[in-house]
This record gives sequence, structure tokens and C-alpha cells, in this order.
Amino acid sequence: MSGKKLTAIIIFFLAAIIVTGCAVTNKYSNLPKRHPETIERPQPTCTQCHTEEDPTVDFKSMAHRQNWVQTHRLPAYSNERVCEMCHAQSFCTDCHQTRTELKPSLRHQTETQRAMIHRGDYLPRHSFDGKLNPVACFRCHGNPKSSETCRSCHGR
Amino acid sequence: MGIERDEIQESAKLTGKKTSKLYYFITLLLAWSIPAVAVAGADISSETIVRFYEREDYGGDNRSLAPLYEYLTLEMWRERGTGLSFHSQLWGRADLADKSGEKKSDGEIIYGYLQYLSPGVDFRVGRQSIYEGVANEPLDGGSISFDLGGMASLSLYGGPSVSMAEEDGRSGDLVYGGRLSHTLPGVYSLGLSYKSLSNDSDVAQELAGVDASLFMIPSTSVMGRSTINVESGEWAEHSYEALILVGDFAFRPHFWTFDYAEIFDAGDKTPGPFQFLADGEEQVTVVGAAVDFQLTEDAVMIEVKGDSYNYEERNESANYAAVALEVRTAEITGAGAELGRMEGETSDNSYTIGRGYAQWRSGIYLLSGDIVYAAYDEPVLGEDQSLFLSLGGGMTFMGGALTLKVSGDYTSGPYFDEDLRAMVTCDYHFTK
Repeated sequence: MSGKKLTAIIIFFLAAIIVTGCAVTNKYSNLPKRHPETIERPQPTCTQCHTEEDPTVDFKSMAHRQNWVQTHRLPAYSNERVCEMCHAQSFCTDCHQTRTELKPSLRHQTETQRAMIHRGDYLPRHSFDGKLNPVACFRCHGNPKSSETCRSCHGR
Repeated sequence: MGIERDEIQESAKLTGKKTSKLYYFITLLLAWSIPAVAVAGADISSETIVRFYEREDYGGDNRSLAPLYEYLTLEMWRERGTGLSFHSQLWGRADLADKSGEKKSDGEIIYGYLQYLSPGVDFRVGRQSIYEGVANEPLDGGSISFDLGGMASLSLYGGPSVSMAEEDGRSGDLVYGGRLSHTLPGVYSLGLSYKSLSNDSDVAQELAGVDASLFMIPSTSVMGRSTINVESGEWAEHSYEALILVGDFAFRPHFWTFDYAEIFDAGDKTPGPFQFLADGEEQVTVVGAAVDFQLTEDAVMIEVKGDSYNYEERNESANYAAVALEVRTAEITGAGAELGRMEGETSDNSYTIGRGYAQWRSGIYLLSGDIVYAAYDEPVLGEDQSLFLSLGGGMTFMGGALTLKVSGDYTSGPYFDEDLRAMVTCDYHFTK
């Protein structure tokens, strides 16, 4: 085991011990597993029902405004349990999936309001985006270490 | 060398086939075990898609293609939201006419796992995807998350990696890691995460990261993440953005920076398409912002956004700006338009793009339309524009449980010359 790996693991567990020692009991851990009310169309934003004074969840950063597809990355990575109250894993894998053949905008062709990535003739544009910032591709296209989507045309 | 490569590939294929059969068997076993735990509720979704289009192969022969796709999603539980439950999604394809892929049929388990939920504990075993901290990984294994008191939580995961299967089979592929978070409600949330990914028993990626959300200022939140390549000890990513609400305006400035060598380098196994990035010293910094204004609450939104890309080694920059309008009502689930301009350092990196779309639902009827037009400053494969059009319609039956949709699209551009495609979709949803 490398020194750096060992250091990272030690720091991780020290942090766990410190945090455990500081933890106190309050209501945060009682987040429901599912949203209690069924949300009907037109879908409201979180802040229409939940006041900003409610400290359980930062509702304003989780509010699904029309540009939520472009802005949900950081809130989702740090609040996965909040997402799971309404969304099954199948909702995430609609886009975050490299082991299917149909791109999301084609599979859901009539869901034009979902603002799915790569609508239209994306093949020419992907070369622009690849030169611009290829890191952004791997938010959906898996891990850059395998690059499964890229290999079929660009080789190993 | 050629013989060695063939032997390795053959061995990898056999290992992959054996491992795939094992996982299918495990998933079926888990599925059959569900009746034994007295299923009280179930949610089954079936999405069947048949596509119709033509392609010309390398020999100049026309192929008529009619692939049939099936996406099956299965959720079963004894008591929803607690206790034992089963979750699975699979897809498959069978070609009804000429072969549309490498094989006449294909398929995959996207996820399939048993879950146990109790207050403060979430345990899963099977194929699943992890989206936490530095992890964005599918794996065949286990994960557990539990609360440490009230304001802290710990999640751990581990098992054979799914994402590295294409590289030398699945033998020796492993991913594990975790995330520790501490939250002071209404003030901050802080997370520390770690991930190790091995391919063929060699470490392919080892990341650690810190993610933070700050809510201390009213109507303002700041979120961000910094990721470090543990092997090199260098920072790979800093991504930070803020949300500032002022009346009906939302202002979202962001700052992202990526070090390509730290993200794409995987020792001697870096995928070919990105080897040049892993070997270089390029860093890209993206500074931008978006402002959206709710003209009417949740019905009409106007957005203006822009990004500036700056490259350290390339000594270039590129800028993107766009304006968008969207309308949503009870019947128009979404209609809008967007116009954007990408201005690269050179004309071959520049283009203008526009989109218009709408989906209308009324009772059992559904109509949709989409148009995307792009004009390239420099021709791509001899073409300086792309046009995409789609139209679709559908009806629901059986109280909304069954939906039939027909759609078609037209593409003309650098890669396709007046390409027409049609699609029939049947969605069935059953809930017990």
C-alpha cells in the first residue's frame, strides 16, 4: 500500500471519529425515504411549499427550475438521499448510462421539454464539445478510464 | 505480439461471458427470491420501442433496420420506504430486419439490487450505480449508508467494477470507496469522499475529494467540489457555483477548472482517445454565469447564460452565450426556444445553434415537436449546417397505464443526407 493511500485512509477514519464525537441527535436523520405527497403536473418547485426557514433541506438549491438539467450536478452529488425521495434509480440512468444503445433524447423523443442532452444532429457538435472540455462528457458517459462510448469510433 | 493479443482477447471474452452469465443468474435468483419475502407492492414499467430506418454500409449496400428495444423496470417491496425491496432495470434489443449492431441481439442489466431500509440505514447488494462525492460508478457489489448520530452520515461501497469491463475483461476489476458528511442544517454541509478503481488488478484511478454547500447567507447558497488525484497528489478539479435569489431572478455564477493529466491519466492503460491529454499539461478554466427570470411563477422563464473557456497550454479561449425562453402550463408541459453562439479562437471552433420545442398534453392525447438548427462557421465534412426535425404524437389508455406513441425525425447535415427515421413506442406501467 502506497504512503499516500495509507495517509488518505488514516485521514478519512480520523475525520470519521472526530465527526462521530461531535455528532448530536436532531431531526435531520429522519428525512423520509419517499416524498409524502404525490407531485402532480404542472410540477411545483420545492420552495412553493417548503419555506426557506425550514432547515431540514436547502430547498432553494434543490428547486427544479427549468434549467435543472444543467444545474443539478453539485446538488445531486451532495444530497443523493433528497433526490431519492422522488426519483428511482431508473430516472438517473435515463441519462447517466453508457451501456445502452439509444441516446436519451432518442429513447424519449416525445419528451422534448426534458431538455435532454444531444438533441438533434449531435455528431458534428460532439467534436466541438470534445475540444472545448471533454471532462464534461463523463458526467454521463461513465469513467474516462474506460471511455466506453468513445472507443467504438476513436479506437482503444 | 499478434498471437498474444488474440489469446488475451479470447480469454477476456470467455471470462466476460462466464462473469456475465453469473451475474444474470444472481439477478434471476434475487428476483425469484422475492415471492419468498411476501411482496406487498410492485411497480413494473415496460417500454417497448421499434425503430425503422435505413443505413448504407461500407460496401455501399443498403440495410433496412428495424431494431426492437425493450426496457423493463421492476420495483418490489413489502412495505414501501422501509424493510426489504428489490429494484431492477434491464434493456434488450432484437433486430427484426437487418443487423443494426455488432450482433443481432444484445442486452444488459442496467441495475438490479436488493435493498434493506431502516431508520438511518440503507443497505444495497447487487448491481447499482453510486453517485456520491467523487463517485459516479456502476458496480456489482454492496453499499451501505448510515447516520452517525443526527448530523453526520457515512456511506461505503465496494465490489467488481462494471465500467472497466471493456478493458481486458472483468477479472481484477474492483471499485470501492465512501463518503463522510457532516451537516449543520441551514448553515453548511461538508463531505469527504474517496474512490479507488482497479482494472485488471492495477489501480486505474484513485480520487479523493471534498464537497461543500454553504447556506449561511439568506437567499444564497454556494456549492462546490474539489477533487485530488491521490496517486500524484495533484488537484484534478475545482468546481464551484453559487445560487443567488433576488425576487424572481436567480443568478448562478460558476467557476470550474480541470487538469486533464490528472483526470485522464491511467498509467499505461489510458484509453487511446485521451492519451494526448494525459501526456500533456493542459488545464482548462471555465468562468460563467446564468441569470434566469421567472416572468410568471413556474410558467414562463427567460434565461441568459454565458461561459468563457480559457486554456493554459493552448493559450486560447472560447466563449459561449445563449438566451432561452420556456413556457409551462397545465397542458403545455414545456415549450421554448433557445439561441446560442459559440465563438472559438478559430472559425473552425465556432458555430451558431438554435432550438425550438414543444410538448402538449390534453387528456389522453400528446403532441410533441422539436427543431434544432446549427450553422458552422467552417464546413464539417463539406457541410456548413445541420437540421434536425422531430414530430410525435400519442394516446394513453387504461387510465394512463398504457401509452402508445409514434414519432419520426429528419436529419440533414455533415453525417446524414436527408435521413428519415420512425419509431413506435409502447409504455405500460403497472402498480400493485
